[in-house]
Amino acid sequence: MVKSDKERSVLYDSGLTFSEKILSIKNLAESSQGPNKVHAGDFVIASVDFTYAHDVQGPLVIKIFNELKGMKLFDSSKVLINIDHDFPASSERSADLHNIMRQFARQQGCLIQEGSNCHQYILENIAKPGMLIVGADSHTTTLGSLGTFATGMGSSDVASIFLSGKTWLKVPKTIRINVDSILHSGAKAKDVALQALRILGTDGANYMTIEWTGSAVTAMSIDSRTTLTNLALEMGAKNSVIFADEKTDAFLLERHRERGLHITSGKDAEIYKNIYIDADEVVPMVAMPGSPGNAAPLSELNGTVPVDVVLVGTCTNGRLEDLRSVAKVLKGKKVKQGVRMIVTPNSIDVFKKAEREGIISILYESGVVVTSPGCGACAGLSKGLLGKGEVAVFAGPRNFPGRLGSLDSKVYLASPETAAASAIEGRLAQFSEVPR
Amino acid sequence: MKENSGRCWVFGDDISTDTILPSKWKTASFEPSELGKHAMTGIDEQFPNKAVDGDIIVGGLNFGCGSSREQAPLALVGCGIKVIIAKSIARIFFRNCVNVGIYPIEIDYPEGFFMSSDRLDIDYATGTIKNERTGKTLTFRSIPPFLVSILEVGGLKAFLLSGKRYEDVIR
Repeated sequence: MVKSDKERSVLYDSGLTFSEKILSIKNLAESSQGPNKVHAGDFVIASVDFTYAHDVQGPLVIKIFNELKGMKLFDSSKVLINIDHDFPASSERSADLHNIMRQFARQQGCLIQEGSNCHQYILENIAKPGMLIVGADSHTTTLGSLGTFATGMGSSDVASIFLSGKTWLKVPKTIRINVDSILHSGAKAKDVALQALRILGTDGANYMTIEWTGSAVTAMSIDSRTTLTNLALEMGAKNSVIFADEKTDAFLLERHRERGLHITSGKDAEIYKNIYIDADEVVPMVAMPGSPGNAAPLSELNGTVPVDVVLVGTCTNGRLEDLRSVAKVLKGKKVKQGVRMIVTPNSIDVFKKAEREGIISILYESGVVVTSPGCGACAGLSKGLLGKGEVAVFAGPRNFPGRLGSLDSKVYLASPETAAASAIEGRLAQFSEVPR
Repeated sequence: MKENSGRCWVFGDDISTDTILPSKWKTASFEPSELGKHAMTGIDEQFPNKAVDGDIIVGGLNFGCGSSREQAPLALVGCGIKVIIAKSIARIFFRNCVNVGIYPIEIDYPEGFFMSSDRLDIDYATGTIKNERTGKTLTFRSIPPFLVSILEVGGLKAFLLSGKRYEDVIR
């Protein structure tokens, strides 16, 4: 990849953070004073490399696009219409909305995908280091695991990007979460993220970038890293990044994609806050009902929590690695009678690979229902919603009241391992409590 | 921005978009008037019947966290909400507010400063909020001028339809 002079001057500036570098490169605002470097707090008008909308926001994006007298997308190869939140349609209303999206994609000749969760599909097929991606979904931060700057916005902002390929952004400050040492077998990326949520709360990173660094992050697979960048959103982050490395290169090479532009924060860059997590001390975590910020070690829970429903999936925990670990816990065991366990692979590709590895049949043998890929119950529209008074363990992103159905239900967030162990035990339980 | 006066409704911390517009209604319609029938029903079933045009919402920390659904602030528009005052506002929700024409005010107010049904007078030029019941005032920092210029015309759609571009108002 040939770099421009401006790119070179920005990339090798030791005083800039990742976000300052990438937004300097993407900034369209003219400056007469040579290379235009921006810093935290500056506003930029940025050119967007890729944008997308799903079936909750998408129809509204299209409506606004049409009202803006939008005739043509800024670049049809950089726009994805993605049907995942209620696919296959569970209602006539959803079916009608999906058809609005299909018709739009046909007219505009842009990309369209049905079935896979949008973030996972883009991770698997489109994202590359150094891209600026804006999605009409809060969890767009997910894609930072490949070294992109990825952030979510609402329908009006995304409609305006559909039209012009541009948006305004305030250059964020950076919080760095250093995760050093080695994770124990019982603790996973989800537990690390819940530990970070315990420290930062649900707004501790509001408007900011979260960088995840440290030896434990370097050791993680792309699947695990993606759980971290995904959950950064629950801390309020604008975007979250893990600098591209050899693992990123290998992930892209395997999928026949170019290496992209590797960007890292300079050694003298201003880090607003450093947080240190000793991976060695991370234990299985849960977030108590009501908010992802209610995170605490599972061992600190008082008394037993009987569980009615166990859900695994979403853009947080529906990847192959998550399904593998659920199958590992469940193999040869049964979901406790009276408990429902529902697993939703988050993409068609994940589903196919899980099938090939025998994971799907292990899950069925254990009494799990595996649904078609997508967002699952997290979209709040279908695939396992909760009724009044039900208690669920959820390997997913958030547990605000009513997120998974009834306002009167209680949802505990946990890792896929903890979710599977809880399904076997019929109560909130960690992997180590399941008899071998 | 002109001055604004209205009655306020007070809520706590971490009011998510699942509470502002519960999932089962998020795809029901695009129209603010329809969505407004379900606004805040995740916490107060009667809110759509109580709210009137010009009302103000007061939240605690992290108001509007969670999903990016623009239908949530649109539902508040449908209830006549013109201003949201909160200790902090989640970033996507903040953008969405401006884009649909709701003025977002972030301010760290003392406990008990606002009570539901208080009438508030907001002066954007001086950045002050006056509580008519107590006579007390607070000052807030105005949002960046280019966002004011989007709000003044009623939101992002109106702004772009007027032929303006970001380049005209940023820097």
